[in-house]
Amino acid sequence: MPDDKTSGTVLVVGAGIAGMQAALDLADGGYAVHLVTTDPSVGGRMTQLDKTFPTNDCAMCLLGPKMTDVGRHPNITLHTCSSLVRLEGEAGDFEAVIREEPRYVSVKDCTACGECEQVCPVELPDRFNVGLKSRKAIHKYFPQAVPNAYLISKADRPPCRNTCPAGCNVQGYTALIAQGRFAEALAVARRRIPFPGICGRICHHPCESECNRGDLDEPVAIHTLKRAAFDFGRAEATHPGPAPTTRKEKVAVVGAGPAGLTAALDLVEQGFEVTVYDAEAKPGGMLRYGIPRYRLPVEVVDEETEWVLRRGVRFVGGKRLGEDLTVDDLFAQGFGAVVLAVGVQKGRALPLEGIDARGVYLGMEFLRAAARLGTDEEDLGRAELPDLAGKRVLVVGGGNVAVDTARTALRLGAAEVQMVCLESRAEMPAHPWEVEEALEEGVVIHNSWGPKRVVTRPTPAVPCACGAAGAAAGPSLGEAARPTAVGVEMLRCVRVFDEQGRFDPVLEPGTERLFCADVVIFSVGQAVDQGFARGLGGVELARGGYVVADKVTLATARQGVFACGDIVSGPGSVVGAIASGHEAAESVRRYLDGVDLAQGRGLPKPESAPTPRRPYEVRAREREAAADPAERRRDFREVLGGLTREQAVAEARRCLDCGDCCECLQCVEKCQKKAIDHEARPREVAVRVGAVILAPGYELFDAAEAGEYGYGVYPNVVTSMEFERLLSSTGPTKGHVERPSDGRPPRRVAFIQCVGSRDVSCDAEYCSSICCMYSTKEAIIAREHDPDINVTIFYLDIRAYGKNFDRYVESARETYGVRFVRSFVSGVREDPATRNLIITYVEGGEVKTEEFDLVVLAVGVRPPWQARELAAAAGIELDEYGFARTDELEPNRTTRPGVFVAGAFQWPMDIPESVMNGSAAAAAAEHLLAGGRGRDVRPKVYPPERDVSKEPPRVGVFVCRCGINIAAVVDVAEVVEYAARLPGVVHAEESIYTCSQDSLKHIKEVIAEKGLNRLVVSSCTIRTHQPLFRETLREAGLNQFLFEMANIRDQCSWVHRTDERAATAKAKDLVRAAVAKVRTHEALHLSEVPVVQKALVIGGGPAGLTAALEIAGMGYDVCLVEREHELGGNLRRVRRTASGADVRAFLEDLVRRVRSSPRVEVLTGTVVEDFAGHAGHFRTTVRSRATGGTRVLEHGVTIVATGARESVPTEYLYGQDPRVLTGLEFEELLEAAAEGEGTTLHGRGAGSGAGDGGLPSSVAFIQCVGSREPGRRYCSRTCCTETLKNALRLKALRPDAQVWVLYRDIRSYGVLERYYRQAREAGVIFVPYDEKAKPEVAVEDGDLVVRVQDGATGLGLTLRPDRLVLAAAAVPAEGARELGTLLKVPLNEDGFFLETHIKLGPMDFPSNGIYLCGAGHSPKFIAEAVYQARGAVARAATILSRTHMLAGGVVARVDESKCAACLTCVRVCPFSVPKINERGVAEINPVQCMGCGSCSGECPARAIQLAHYKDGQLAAKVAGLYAKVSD
Amino acid sequence: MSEVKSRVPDGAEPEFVPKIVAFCCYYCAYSAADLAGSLRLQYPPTIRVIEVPCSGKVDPVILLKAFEEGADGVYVAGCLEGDCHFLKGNFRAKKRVAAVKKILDQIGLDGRRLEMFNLSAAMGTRFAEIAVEMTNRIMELGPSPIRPEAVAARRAAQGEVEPR
Repeated sequence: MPDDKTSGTVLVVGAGIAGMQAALDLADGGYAVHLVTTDPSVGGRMTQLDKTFPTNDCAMCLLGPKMTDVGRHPNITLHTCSSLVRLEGEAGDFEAVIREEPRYVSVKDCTACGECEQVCPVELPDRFNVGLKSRKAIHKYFPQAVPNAYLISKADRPPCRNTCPAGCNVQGYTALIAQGRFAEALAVARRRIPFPGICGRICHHPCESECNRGDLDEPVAIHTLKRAAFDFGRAEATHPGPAPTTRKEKVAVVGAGPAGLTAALDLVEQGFEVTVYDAEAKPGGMLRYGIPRYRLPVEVVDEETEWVLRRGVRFVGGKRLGEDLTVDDLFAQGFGAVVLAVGVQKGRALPLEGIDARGVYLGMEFLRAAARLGTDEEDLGRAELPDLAGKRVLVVGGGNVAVDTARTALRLGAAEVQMVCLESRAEMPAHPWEVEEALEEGVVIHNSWGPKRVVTRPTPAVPCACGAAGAAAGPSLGEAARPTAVGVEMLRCVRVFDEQGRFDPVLEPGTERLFCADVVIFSVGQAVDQGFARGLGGVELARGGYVVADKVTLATARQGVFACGDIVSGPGSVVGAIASGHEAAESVRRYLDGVDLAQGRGLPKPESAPTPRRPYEVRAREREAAADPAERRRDFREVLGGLTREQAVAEARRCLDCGDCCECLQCVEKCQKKAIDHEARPREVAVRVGAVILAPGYELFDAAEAGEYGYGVYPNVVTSMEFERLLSSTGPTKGHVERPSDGRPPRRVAFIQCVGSRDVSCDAEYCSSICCMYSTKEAIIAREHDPDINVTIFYLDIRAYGKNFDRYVESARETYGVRFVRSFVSGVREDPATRNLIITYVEGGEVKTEEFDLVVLAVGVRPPWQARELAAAAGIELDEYGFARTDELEPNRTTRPGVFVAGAFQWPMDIPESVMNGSAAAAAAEHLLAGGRGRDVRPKVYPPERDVSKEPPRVGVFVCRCGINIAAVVDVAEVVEYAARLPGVVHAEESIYTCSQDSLKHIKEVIAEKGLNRLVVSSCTIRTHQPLFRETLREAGLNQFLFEMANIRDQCSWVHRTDERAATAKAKDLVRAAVAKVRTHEALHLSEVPVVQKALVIGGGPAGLTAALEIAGMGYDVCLVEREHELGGNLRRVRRTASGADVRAFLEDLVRRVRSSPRVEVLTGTVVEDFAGHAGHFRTTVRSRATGGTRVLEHGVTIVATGARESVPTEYLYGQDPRVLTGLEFEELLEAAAEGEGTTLHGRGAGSGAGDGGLPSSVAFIQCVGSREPGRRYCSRTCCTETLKNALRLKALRPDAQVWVLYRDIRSYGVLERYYRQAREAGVIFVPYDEKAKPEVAVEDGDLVVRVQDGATGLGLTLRPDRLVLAAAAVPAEGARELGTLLKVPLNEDGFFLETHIKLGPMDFPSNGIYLCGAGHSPKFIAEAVYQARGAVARAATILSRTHMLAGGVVARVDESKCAACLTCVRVCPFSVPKINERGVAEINPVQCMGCGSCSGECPARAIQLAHYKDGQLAAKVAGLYAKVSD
Repeated sequence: MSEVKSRVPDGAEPEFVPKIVAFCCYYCAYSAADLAGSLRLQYPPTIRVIEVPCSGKVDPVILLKAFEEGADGVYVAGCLEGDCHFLKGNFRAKKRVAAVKKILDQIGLDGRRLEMFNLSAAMGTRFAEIAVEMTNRIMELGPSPIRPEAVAARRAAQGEVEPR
């Protein structure tokens, strides 16, 4: 029962195997769990593995069910793409803040149909496949991901889009062009640029100079691609038609240039009614009247302005503000707001002498007139233009307008066109490419001249035939008195800008020069046409007639009037005008909505995304064709030709996708569930929790840091994870091992071990613990895939220290022919011709080289990438390597109370250790929060169940369309119509998504309305959706088993896409079979079986003691049974750990706490004599060894912790010469000597040479005595470290002592590696020996003599040590085998208990309710025994914490009348459940039955039936499949 | 690896479309079928999956029943050997399949119409391959000799699962 204050919620950070295990144990034990992972799915690293060692199990098969359990556990709240950012408070009462990064796809709504992925144009490296494959920006992390939902990868905004004043989505249209989807690309470009065809031609494209590709080779031709989108997409682009008017307010826009039209378009799309007024007859403003046709064809302007108007913008031409209308008029007409976008229309006239002369023009007016040519305004244009045929034209000015003027003059027939400007070439404000084109066409440019005066001559009264000027059109006859220009007198311009960069030209007197011309055109700037000021009424104007408007909101001084474009900012770019139009529209909307105009606007732009670190191919940009200058200069044909379709696609492929997702929104259009929201933002969630478990996993070493192996340079050097993916059937090559360079299967593969491990230069002094085994596994799997692959593993020590590991390595060597070479590899070179790799290594003192086709680097384990941030957030300390700092004997505790650690964040560990560790952390949290158990979990209340057993079947069939996933292939209507006619079916219908909340609600209503008593859903897979629908049945008051699913998506529409008829027929078959079966379904009830909330722990060593204490701490009674008369087990003989921690004190404390706990009953000198019962209620008979008295204990769970002991050696003169000791004996000798107690112990310490306080002057250690040998083919795991410990202890006590260690492999795994280094530094001599050439020990002349052949050098050594210490094997404790028989739990051939699954069930037995921990599982260190014990308690607590267990459901039942007691079931059951009962027939306890049905399949009398899969039920389904249908 | 075909036969409409029942273990083959689906692997529409909790549940009677009901081919798909969720169920299935193959041979149905496959949940591609392999095999063997319409008629007479 929960007390009234302790929290019942735990936060678990990390959802790899350790985090999932912790979360499941906690959730099953009655705690609410917040499970937080930075990944998009639970599962962690293990999901990427193909197989697991040492059983070669498929990793995903093991993991899948566990992931599903986590995903749907009612007590687990999953936070994916999330991290812990703050943890305040204290143990028992924390507030944790979780930051959830957006997935952009709603997990709740996504059905993982994958349609979005099909249309996504962005390919990114697939992180799951370590970059060996690509995936889309919208993706599922991997096929079996939990939650089964998509997400989108987004980086920061790409620089192109960030730089564009209008925010045009460049990456979006580029990505679509790369796929040849021009129409879609055009639509994307149009979102922010209403005139992509225009901007694609004339935009000054500031984006390109920011393009990240420019840092690599050349920027992407962004602006030309926009033109391509228009040119090639326009034909297919469909106009969406007028936007619906949804607002009653009307808006007037004055000026139909780019700014005004953009504002109008935005407002129309917002639902406003918009009218645009313009002085000209046609819309477009400067686009139409300012830009020469050879740069921008009028057809493009027509098309794009028409596109805008067709969206519903009303255009009224020929209305000039100030003359034909005023702002007051507009408001009077009922417009709610006015946007001024009148532009800057006039050329600027300089106050020069002679400026009024005949033959002098202004560039703006000249261009406007020229633009009218070739249109229906031709006459108007002609009237304003001078006849330039054969004339000399001088253009004054150096800007774009001047260049346009000059080139237009050429095209109007001028004989000669010269430009003269203040600026030098480099300073000219015109775009350099335009200047270049002008020069090509023959324009002559004179730089650094400033005009002084226009030189004139009197105009002849009568036009003369010879004079050019007189013939000029323009001035009317009435003006004949005006003089005629003959040229401009210029002065040298020595400076254009002052020191501050302001325009302040200085002309040098006395440098006059006359530039002769027939026509002079001044293009020195633009001016506001002041006439419009008359129509403003209250709008404030600045100098020069510009409108004063707020910089951010563009609001003018007059309420409701906004201004945009050049009239606010002065002459600027088209794209700038568009940007300004968007802003004005936004302000108008806000103004009319009555909300704050400025809020959230005008903020500085965020940082652009950096250049992504992805492979790319250096390639120059595509260049568009330009018309021949000699030809084009005489007419207005378009100069630039744009890219070809093929060029555009090739150019677009150069894009680096800097933003990851390009936000083209194709996915949004495709998603029928409307599950995608590109605007999603991160959010922080605060949760109250009592404890925190950190299990963020680990990172792999970046192999590129170990340069000598050529990773990242030579394609055929891969990492072990890459190789793992190459082996995987879900990997990039579907499990075919191929070389990256040429895709050929490699013949010779080398593994190089310890890359980034055991290497101080890589900041990793420690051993990564797992690499020897994973390399062995990969070698074996590679050989299984392709027997022609020969594998060599270059290693330093093979660290096969775990359960069954040595046998695995042996099978690799012997069965699979894997070659192991003990050698350090000094380097890898590539043969550039073959791309083969040449490895240099030293073997037997000799330098050798060898060639391989593929090299695999066994990369080491690193702390998780987020370790530092996580440690800071959680307030814990890290150790010197960057892993969580823990106490050696309290392995799950961090430096902050209430915060626990599990898995590889503690130190490098393999999967079973991580599972034990995860459970252990759960137990630690449960202990801390014992009073909160059950507090934060609410059992769901269901309506009472309707008894339908007497009713005839009334089946409802719901056929799902799954959007278009099913419906696009299967004729759903036909299936529904068919289903409705099946016998027993009273209702059939289709739904778009049967799993959606509203559909489920509807199903419940139909059940009630039509009195349904059976349900069939025909949709997807039972794996993900059956629990959901069964839940719906329960909510509707029906038994959950009255349900059946037909999988017409995964098994039908998805896999028979090309054959709609066959798929529909199959869907009908599947529905018919499901209906046939569901008619036979019966309600199955789970019955409650009471749980005895007490535990039995067998074994009183460190594991058993810890287990008992943890159980007591959780508030349950426990009985601890120990066969010896004293508690402590083997640990009583150990004094220190390798780090020097006091083991005796640790043990004494443990024993004291156990003895003093009121909840623990200790029975020493007691053994188990009989064992009966089942999970929840066992009855164990124990017998006192002293009195022989027996007692029956009743308990709900059993924990086996029987431990191990040191074996007694039979070799190397042990027992014959007192100077030969075991490791434990030597430790006792050392400690006794250290304490000055003399040397003798069991009479063995004395002997020659033992001086110096009894400490020997020389010691030889022999490792693997009795381990790793025939008959005991396992590693005893702890002896290497024990030897290092004792060697170091001796060296500390007696530095002159000589120490040799004769070993096969030094297995100081993980952080224990530091003792190996320390021992070498202390002068301990390590001599490897081969199993086939063991050391020989003899007594010669009274001396101990050890002879050994040094495996490294091949030299024979003779040692004469004072003492010889044997690392004796660890063997199972006495009585273990008998106990196994009593408990009916299995042992392996070495006599250690065999867990249910070596990877994922290291503390469970096949029989429910019995758990395993300590060295009885396999040899281990104290800390390992401690966490396995805690883990076993967490597993036990899932039963112990309940008052009742639910039994039944899908279990086997015996029909006693048919049973012949033939014992077949007893023999067949893998879990030893069937028993012969007192009636002499078989009985299967529903509490123990696992529901596999093996017995029912074998029972000769068919007396056993598996519920839900009874003979009749399966037969009905089979018959249903092929029943003939009469239509 | 054999090619995964998108349709059973190439070219013209097939006269004979095999009917194949696949008894699939929930833990491996059923999951592999899902994976084949999410990878959009295309295989012939001849396979009808019946899910079982373990291949060890499948007994000789139901295998024979499938043939009796008109299946031209039947297979059992269990976990890889050594990977059974229930430890040894797939070995039991293997034995039973072997035994029923003999019966089929004896009664003239040809034991090749029945097969045992082992695959893991991660082997979506293999699932599709098996579908192709079995379909091709049954195409070669032709329709089951005990696929008479009379069987269906008898069922209809008994009013089992026939539509009204």
